[in-house]
Amino acid sequence: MDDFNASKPIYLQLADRINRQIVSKELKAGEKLPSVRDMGIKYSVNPNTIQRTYSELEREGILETRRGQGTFVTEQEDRLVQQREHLKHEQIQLFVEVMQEMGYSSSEMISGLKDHLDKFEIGDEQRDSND
Amino acid sequence: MRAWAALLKKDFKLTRTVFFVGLVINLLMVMLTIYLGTIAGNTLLMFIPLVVAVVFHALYVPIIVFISLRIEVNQLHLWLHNPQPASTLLISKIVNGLIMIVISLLMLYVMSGLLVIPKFNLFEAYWADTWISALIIFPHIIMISTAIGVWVLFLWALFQFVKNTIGRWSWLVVIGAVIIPPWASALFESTNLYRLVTRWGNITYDFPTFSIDPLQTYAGEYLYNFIIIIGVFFLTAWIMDNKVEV
Amino acid sequence: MIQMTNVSKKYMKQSALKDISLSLPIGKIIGIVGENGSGKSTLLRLISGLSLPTSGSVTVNGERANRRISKVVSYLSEVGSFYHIYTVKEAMDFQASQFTDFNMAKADEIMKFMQLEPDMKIKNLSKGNRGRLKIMLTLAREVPYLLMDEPFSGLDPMVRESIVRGMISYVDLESQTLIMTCHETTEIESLLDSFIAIKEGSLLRMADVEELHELEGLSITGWMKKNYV
Repeated sequence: MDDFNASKPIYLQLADRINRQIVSKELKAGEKLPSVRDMGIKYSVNPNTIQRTYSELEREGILETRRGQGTFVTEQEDRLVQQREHLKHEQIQLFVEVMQEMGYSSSEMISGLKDHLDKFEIGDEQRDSND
Repeated sequence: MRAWAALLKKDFKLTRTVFFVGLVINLLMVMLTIYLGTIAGNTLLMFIPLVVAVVFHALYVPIIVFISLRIEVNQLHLWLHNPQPASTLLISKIVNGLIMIVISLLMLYVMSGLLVIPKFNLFEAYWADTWISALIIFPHIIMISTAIGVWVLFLWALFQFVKNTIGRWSWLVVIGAVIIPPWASALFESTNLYRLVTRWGNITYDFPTFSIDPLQTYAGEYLYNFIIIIGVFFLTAWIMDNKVEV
Repeated sequence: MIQMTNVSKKYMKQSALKDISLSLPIGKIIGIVGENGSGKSTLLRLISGLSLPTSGSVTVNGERANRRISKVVSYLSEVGSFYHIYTVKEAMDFQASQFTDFNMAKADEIMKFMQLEPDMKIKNLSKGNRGRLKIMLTLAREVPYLLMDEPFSGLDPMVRESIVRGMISYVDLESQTLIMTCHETTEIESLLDSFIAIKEGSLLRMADVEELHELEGLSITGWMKKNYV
């Protein structure tokens, strides 16, 4: 059974998961999502909650519901690119806030991040091979 | 109809073990009769076990009904969580008892018949009265047994009703319900009103070769008893639909 | 709609429920939570009409609940399984004969999903399989209200998980509401729309689970720890 964090609504946690799957191209533009019920079975989550997740993402323009056909990832690439940027900023902002709280300066953060990426050689290389 | 047939089938399955045990007891009674015939020689006394077996059938339907209720009470929600009215659920238990008692009595009668044939000389003098009385006893045992069966349903439902409200004194209520109705009924039967209401449709059971007085009854009395049993039955159904809780 | 108005229930002098008023709509999965003996099961039985209130009223779709409300309510009891005289298939046939809304095709599907065999004798079933059988017989009815008393109690985690999946698959939230009592909520928190918390026979709270997450940042278990001391 999937674990969810109690401090955030489950429907938003599921929206985050779907967003990440879209950004990482696990879910592609125009791809059909499982039905509300199948998604519910997959995560052991109430179908009403899944419906709320889908509605929320639809409102944000990430998903589209086609009458009688189901729910799809939007085919509007620009919206997905925008979402990709949005998630990036969100993560960076979170990182920066935590670092600032602990008293790191901007240059410390930049050099630290650079060192980290150099050391583990992750990031671009892997990203490229994915595309 | 489908629902009712399935209920009856279920009630039969719940009590079939008792039914088959009953048939085996019948068989043992027949064997006892044969045995008595060999040691006691040609006397009517050998038929006592068979007569006892037939008379005890007055308790047949109540026993079947009681055992059936005992099984239901373990998972009472299964029986009560059902959209059929209580009268349907209850009539199935009574009809099940009726089917079983008829089969059991028929078995006894057929076997008695087979035993009587070789001993026909013992009965020759009062043969006509013997088979007529047997014929009359048969429906009467069934009627009495069914009536007691309905009373068992009533006492059970009453107990289920009061046990949640008065708890451990419930059995006093049940004992009261066993004692008071016959007493009240006996009181009523001694009144002129009762005679007025029931003394019509004269029926006389006369057995000239038996040395007893003719038995005098009335169709009105049968109807009176029938109406009471129907009343008790529907009162039971009402208690079950409105008062019995799981 | 299930409507309870000022419902109290006493057994002899013992009070089981005190002045409960609530209404439950169609299309939800609702958990009744509380400690042992708090009155959860009594609440469920009052809705099923198998128990009757000492005062106040319980109505289902506008009709006062007594045992015959079973025509719109499918009830699963915590105790027992089914008549021992039957096999799995015979139990299904019996239910279908009593309830015109019993969907045999759905029952067959749930039976396979729950890995039950039609020829299994009920008296020989393991505890886990008895739990599955009860769920199958209850879920296969196409009624507005499904009531389950401790459907997970005493079952191992694998069985529980398959039952959760079964509920999601076979409860139609367009036309049905599932109400269940549950002792342990951690595993089914994501299954519930809302919860009813009972404490010593009184209604402590009724709320949406997501509202609890959003406004208070708590799981049901976390909330219960704070409120049942």
